[in-house]
Amino acid sequence: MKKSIGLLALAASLSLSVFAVSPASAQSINVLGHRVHQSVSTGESAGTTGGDVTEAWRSDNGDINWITADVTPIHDRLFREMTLDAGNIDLAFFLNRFVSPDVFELLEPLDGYQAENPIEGFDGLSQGMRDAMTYDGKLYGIPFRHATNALIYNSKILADQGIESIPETFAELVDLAIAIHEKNPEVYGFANHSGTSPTFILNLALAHGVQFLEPDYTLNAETPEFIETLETLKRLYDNGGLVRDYISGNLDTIIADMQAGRAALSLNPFGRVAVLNDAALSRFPGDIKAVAVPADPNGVTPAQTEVWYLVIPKNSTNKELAWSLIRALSSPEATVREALNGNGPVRSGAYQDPRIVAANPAAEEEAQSVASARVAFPGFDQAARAQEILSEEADAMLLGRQTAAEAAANMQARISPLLPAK
Amino acid sequence: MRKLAGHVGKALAVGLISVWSLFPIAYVVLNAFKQHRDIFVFPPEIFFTPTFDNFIAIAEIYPQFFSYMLNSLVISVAATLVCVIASALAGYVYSRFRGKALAASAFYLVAIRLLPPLVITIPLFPWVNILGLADTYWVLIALYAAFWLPLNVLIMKEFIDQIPRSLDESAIIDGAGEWQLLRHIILPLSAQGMVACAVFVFVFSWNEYVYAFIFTIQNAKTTPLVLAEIMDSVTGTNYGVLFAAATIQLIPVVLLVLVLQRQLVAGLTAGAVKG
Amino acid sequence: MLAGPAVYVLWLSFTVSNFGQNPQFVGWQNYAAILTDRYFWTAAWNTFIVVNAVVYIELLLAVLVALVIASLKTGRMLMFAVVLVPYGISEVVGVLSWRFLADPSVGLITKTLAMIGIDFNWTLNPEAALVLITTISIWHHLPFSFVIIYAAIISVPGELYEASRVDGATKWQEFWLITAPIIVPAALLAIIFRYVFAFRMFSEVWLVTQGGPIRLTEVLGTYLYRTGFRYSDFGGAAATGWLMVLGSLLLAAIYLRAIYRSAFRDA
Repeated sequence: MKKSIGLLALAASLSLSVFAVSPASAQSINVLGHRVHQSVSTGESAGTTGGDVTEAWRSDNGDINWITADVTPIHDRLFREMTLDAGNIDLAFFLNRFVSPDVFELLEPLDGYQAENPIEGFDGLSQGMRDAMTYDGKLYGIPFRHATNALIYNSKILADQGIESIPETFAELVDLAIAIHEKNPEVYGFANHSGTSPTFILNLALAHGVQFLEPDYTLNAETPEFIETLETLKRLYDNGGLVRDYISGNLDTIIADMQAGRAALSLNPFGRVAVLNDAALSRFPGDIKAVAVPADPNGVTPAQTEVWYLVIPKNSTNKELAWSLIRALSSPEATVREALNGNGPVRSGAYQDPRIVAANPAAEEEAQSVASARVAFPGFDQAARAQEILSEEADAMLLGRQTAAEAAANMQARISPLLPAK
Repeated sequence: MRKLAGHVGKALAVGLISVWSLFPIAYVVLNAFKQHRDIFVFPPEIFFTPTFDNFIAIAEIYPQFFSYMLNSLVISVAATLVCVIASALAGYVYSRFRGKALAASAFYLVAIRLLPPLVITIPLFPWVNILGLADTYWVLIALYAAFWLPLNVLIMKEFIDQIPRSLDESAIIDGAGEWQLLRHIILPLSAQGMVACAVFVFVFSWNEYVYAFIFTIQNAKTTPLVLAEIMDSVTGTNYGVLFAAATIQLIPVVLLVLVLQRQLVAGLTAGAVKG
Repeated sequence: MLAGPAVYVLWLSFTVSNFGQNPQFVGWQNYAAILTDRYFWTAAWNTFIVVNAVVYIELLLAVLVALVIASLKTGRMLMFAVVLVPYGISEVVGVLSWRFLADPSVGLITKTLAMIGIDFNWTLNPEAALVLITTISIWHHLPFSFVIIYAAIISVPGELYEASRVDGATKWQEFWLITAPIIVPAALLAIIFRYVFAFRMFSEVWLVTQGGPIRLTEVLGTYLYRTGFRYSDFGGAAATGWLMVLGSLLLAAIYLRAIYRSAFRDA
C-alpha cells in the first residue's frame, strides 16, 4: 500500500514536471507532415548534400515544431484539427489523393498572400500541379514534392538472363515481365500491389492509351482499351509477370520482393530506388535502376504522379508565419537543395541545375516523365471508395470469379453513382 | 512409472506452451539484431552476427523516442493506479451490497463498454479540445482508466465474493471500521484480482494507439505512435528498426509481469494464512 | 464519462456528416444502407464465426494452460511470465510477426506446412485467412483469459486440496469438486469480455488481409473503420457502431443474464 502511494506521488510529480518544462517559446510554428518532409527540408538524413533549408528562416522567425506521422494519420489529424474553432496546426503537407470540395472549404486560399508577398519564381512551379490544387478559381496549396512513376528494374537479374536493354514499348515490357519468370521460376516480373491505391492498374491503363477516370470525371471502365488493360493484368498475373502477392501485398511486401530479388521490375516512383539500393536494406545495392516508363501505343510516356502540397488550415492561428515558411521552402534555390536531400522537385528548372545533374543519374529521364505526368485519379468526395471498387473488381477477375468484361461492367455500374456531377 | 509419464507429459505441455507463446516474440527480438535485408529470406539464418545498428538508428531517427517512452510510463502507471484502486472499491461495494440501482449500474458499465472506441472519438475530440485537455497526460490517464474500469470492477467483485463474509463479520465484531476492514481484510485477500487488473490496464495503456493518436500531438505523445510512424508508407518500413523499437517497448512489460508475479504469490500466502 | 459520447454517437447515426460538414438528420437512411450492403453481411458472418471460434478455443486453452502451470512444482513464476508475454507486445508488431511467419513466399510456417504437403495460402484463400486471423487473435489474447482463470485457480486455499486428498479423492474428482466451481465464475467473466473485445476485432484483420481478397475476410471492426475513416462517412460508422453493440449484446446475452442473475439478484 505504501509502495503504491509512493508510485502515485512519483507519477503525479513527473506529470507536473513535464507541464512545467513544456516550452512556451516566443514564436514557433506547428508543421504537420511526414518525416520525409522534415528530412528533405532540414537535410538531416546521412549522405544528403542540400543542408538545412530552414536554417535562415528559423534564425529570423522562430522554431519549427515538426509533428510527423504516416500518410493516412497525417490527413486524419489534419481533418480533425480543421473542424475545431482554433486549430493547433499552422502549416501542413497535403497529398493530392485526399483532395475534395469539402476539404477546400477548410483551407485558406493563398492568392492574397501570393499577391502581397510573392514566392520567388512562382511561375516556375509546375503549372499542372498548381492547377490540380485550384478550386473555384482560387489556389489552395503550393506544390512541394512529387512522386512520379518510373520503370524500376534490377539490372543484375536482367543481365544474368542475358537482357541488355529495356524495351522501347510497353507491350514489349509486358512480354519481358513474363519471360523473366519463364527463365527463372524463382523470379517474378513486376512487384506491385492492388489495394487502396491501385497505381499499377491505373498506370497499366495509361500504357494502353486510356485514363481510367479523367479530370472531368469521365469514367472509362467499359472502353475497349480498359478491358484490354484488365486482360493484360490477368495475363501478367497468371504467367508470373506479376508477383504472387499482388492482391494481398502492400508497399512493404513489394519493396521486400525487390530488395530480395524475388521480382525484377516495378512501376514505382523514381525516388524509391534509394531504398532499393541501400546496402543495409537490400540484397542488390547499386543494381536497381530507374528509367521513364516505356511509351504507350501513341508514343507517349504514360507516367502518373502524386503531389504533396503545402497548405494552411483556415483555422490556423499563425497564418502569416505559415506563409513566410512556405515562401522559404518554395524558392528555386530551396527546391534544388530539397531535391539534393532526396525530394522530388516541383520545378522542372531544377533538373537542369548542375548539382542535381551530378547527384541524380536519372535526372533527365525524370524531367521527361514529370513533363508528361498525370495525376492518376482526380480527387472527389468518394475517391477512396471508387479506388477500392476498382481494385476489388480487378482482383475478383484475377481470382477467376469474373471475366475482364464483367469486371469492367461492374466497375462502371458501381463507380458511376459516386462521381460528382460534371 | 505413472509418475514418470506424468512428468514427461507435463514437460511436454510446458514446452508446447513456451513455443506457442514465445516463438513469434523470438522472431521479433532476433530480427531486431539483423539488418533489414537479412530478415525476409528463407531459410532464415539462425546463427548470425548480431548488429546493433537498428537500436542506434532509433536514437538517431527518433531522438525523442525515450522521452515518449517516459510519457508512456507516467500515463500507464497513473492510469493503472487510478483504475485498480477505483475498481477495488467499487468491486467491494458490488460484492457486499445489493439493490436494483446497483444491478442496473453494473449492467450499464458493461453495456457502455460495447461501443467501439473508434466511434467514441468522433464527439470526444472537440470536447477534449474545448476543455483544453488535448495533448496532456490527464486525458489519456482518464480515458485508459475509464476504459478498463467496467471489466476490472467485475473482476474485483468476483474475487471479493470469494472472501468469506464470516471474516468481515468477525472483523466488525473486533471493532474494525469500514476502512480498516478494507485495508486489512478485503484488499490483501483480493490481491490476485488486483494484480490481474493491474496487468490489464498497464499493458493496454502501454500499447494503446487510437486514443493516443487522436488526443496527443507532441507533449504527451507515447511510444506506440512512434512504432506506427516507423511503419512508413512513403519510403517503406524498415523492419529491423521496427522490431528493435518493439523489443525496447516490450522490456518494461516483462519487468512488470515479473514484479507482479511476486505480489501474486505473496497475496496467495497471505490468503492461505488468514483463510 | 463515456455516456455523453455514446448518446452523441447514437444521434450521429441518424445523420449524414463528414469532416467540416455539419451533421444533417436523415432518419433511418444510414441503417437502411448498411443493412442492404452485402459486405456488411459478409462482415457480420465472418465476425460471428471468428468470434465464437476465438472465445471458446481460447477459453479451453486458457483452462488447460492454467491447470498445467498451477500444478508445476518449480518454475511457476517463469512460466507465468512466458504465457503473459504475447499480451505485452504491441498488438501491431505481434500481428506483423505472425504475418511474416505465414508469408506465402518466405514464411517459416507456410514453408513448413508446404513440406508436409499442405498449401496454406491465405492471400488467395479466405478460409485460410480467417484461420490465420483466429490463430493470431487467440495467441495475442490468451494471456487475458489465462490471467483471470489462473488467478482464480491459485486463490483456492491449499488446505482444501489437502483435505480432499486425505478423504481419498482422485485428481479427477478434485478437479470437478474443487477447481471447476472456482473456475466457472471466472470463465464467465472471461467469456463475456472476450466476446466484447473479439467482436470489434480490427488489427488482426487490417494488418493481415485488410479484409481482402475482395473483401471476403472483412469483419465488423474493419467494416466500420473503412466506412468511417476511409470514406469519412461518420453517420455510417456511428450506425455500424450501434449495430455492433446490438450484435454483441445478442451474442453475449445468455452470459450477461447468467452473470446478472448469479451476481446481483440472489440476495
